[in-house]
Amino acid sequence: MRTTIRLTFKQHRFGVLGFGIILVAIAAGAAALGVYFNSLDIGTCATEVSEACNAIAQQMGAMVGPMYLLRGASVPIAILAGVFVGVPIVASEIERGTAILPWTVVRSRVRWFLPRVLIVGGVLAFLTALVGLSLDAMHQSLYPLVPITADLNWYEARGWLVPARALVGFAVGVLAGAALGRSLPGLFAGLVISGVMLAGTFAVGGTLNQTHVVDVSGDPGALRLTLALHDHTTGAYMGYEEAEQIMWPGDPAFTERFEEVYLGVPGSSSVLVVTRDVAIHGALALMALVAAAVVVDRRRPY
Amino acid sequence: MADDALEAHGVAKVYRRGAAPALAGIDLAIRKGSITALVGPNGAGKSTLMKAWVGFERPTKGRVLVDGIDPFTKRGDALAKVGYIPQQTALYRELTVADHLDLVGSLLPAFDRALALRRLDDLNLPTDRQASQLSGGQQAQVALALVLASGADIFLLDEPLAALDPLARREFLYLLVAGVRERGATAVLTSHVVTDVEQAADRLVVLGQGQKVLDEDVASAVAAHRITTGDAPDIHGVEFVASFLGLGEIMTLVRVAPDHGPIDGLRSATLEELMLGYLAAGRPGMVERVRSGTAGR
Repeated sequence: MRTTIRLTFKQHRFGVLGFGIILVAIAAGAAALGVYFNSLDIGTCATEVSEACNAIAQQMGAMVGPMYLLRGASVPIAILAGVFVGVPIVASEIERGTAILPWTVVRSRVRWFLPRVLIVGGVLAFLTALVGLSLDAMHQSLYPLVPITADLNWYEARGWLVPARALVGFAVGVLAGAALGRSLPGLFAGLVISGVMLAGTFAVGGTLNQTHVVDVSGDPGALRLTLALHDHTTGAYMGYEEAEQIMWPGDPAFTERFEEVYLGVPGSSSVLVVTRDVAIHGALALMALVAAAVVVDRRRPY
Repeated sequence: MADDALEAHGVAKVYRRGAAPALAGIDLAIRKGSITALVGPNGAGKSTLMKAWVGFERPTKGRVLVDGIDPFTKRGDALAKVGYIPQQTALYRELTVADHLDLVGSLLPAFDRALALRRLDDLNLPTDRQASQLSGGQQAQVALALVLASGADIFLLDEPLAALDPLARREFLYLLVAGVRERGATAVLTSHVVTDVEQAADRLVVLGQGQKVLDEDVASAVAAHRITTGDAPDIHGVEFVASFLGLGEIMTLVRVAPDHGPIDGLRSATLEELMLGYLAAGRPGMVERVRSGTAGR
């Protein structure tokens, strides 16, 4: 196995090193911001207004740009990394004609394919997990009073979903490279297909989140989905149009009866929601890898 | 049959609908322990047949067998018997020679690393050099060392000499023949230049336009054929095979009865002339045009 690890890295070192440096830089940046925000002691200003808190707010404001940049770029970069290191696993072998050597020697092509996928995928998972956890640490430093395990704010751009998304990109890249047998077309196809699949996971996750919404107005870690009105008389939740059918909004009693609330997913469901979404991504990645293994087993090595 | 290392039964291969077949119904049996030269012009189907035996190209019709095993239903079992060197040497540019030994060793438990190292050492081939830094001949020797040490009994070598200079060809063939004879293995070498392989082979198979036009032991083929310039003599026991263009003249290949002695005006045919004659048979167009003086107009 050590030989396989050494030779796999030797063959794929440029992609792995290149994106590895970028991912480590992102993780380091997020961790550094987390340390910085922690040093500002933001938690003391959650309910306090003072000169000191104004100064803290200004210091925070100076770093908001880099924070948003890291938060916004991390997931796309993780997915790009997945596709870019996944495509050449098979595509470069077929393109250069080198697949003939292992595929005429090994009794099962899957025995050749699987270790390489696990090695490169494993490194990718580790590096993107570093990014995800560093982003978690940065997020926690911004919301110190909300436990990270009960916080769904920005959950899709941090934590375990970062490696999960990267691995979908990786698996789709491997499949595209294996099917097309060419690196550049594989990259285009991998990026397009993984983009479509990940957009689909957003949609699926969003739909599932909508199925069990509750009043989360007082929950700082909640995922707020809809603004609604709570009827104190009947206890029902409804939209503005429905409330207007019951009482004229201009009526002074309207605001006594109807309270504006947020419906969403409570922060306490964070572990469940993240686990569910990671499982969906994991299933997609596994399906793509199984399909890639079938392609490798059946196709010509050129 | 049990004595056959490789078989082809009615093998046909069409790559695209409507295109000319790459193989048009080949029946062939390669005996165990033989070295066979599989020759023919470009596009004759030699590589396609080799790739069918390795399980890369499924025949459109017919079947191939490797030591009685179908490489498309039992790929692992068939590949365990075969060592294959493709037309373009399939080495990893960024890996050293030693890395290649490690790679094959990691994939193949039966790989004899020490044997491969001895062969490379005999050639003074440094194992710490990357494949991209090796000459074409050196890359071919590395590929040969890998294949000979793989434990295979059947070697399929597709145009192994194409990129080699004359000295490198000699060295390659010498090591191949020595390695094959040592263990009683079987080898099939393809080439479109029969002089490359004639000294190594004990059997000659000529493919032309996807069909087998000659399949004979080298010694008996040479003994049974004569060559002359001009027309075939009208002698009992001498059978016309074909006329083809030589260097500035028309050559005629004839087949003679086994007990026929020397014939005036006829000499023994070389393997290349055998190949040219059998390929030309059924394609008299160019010779007829030369005879009628219309060639080149």
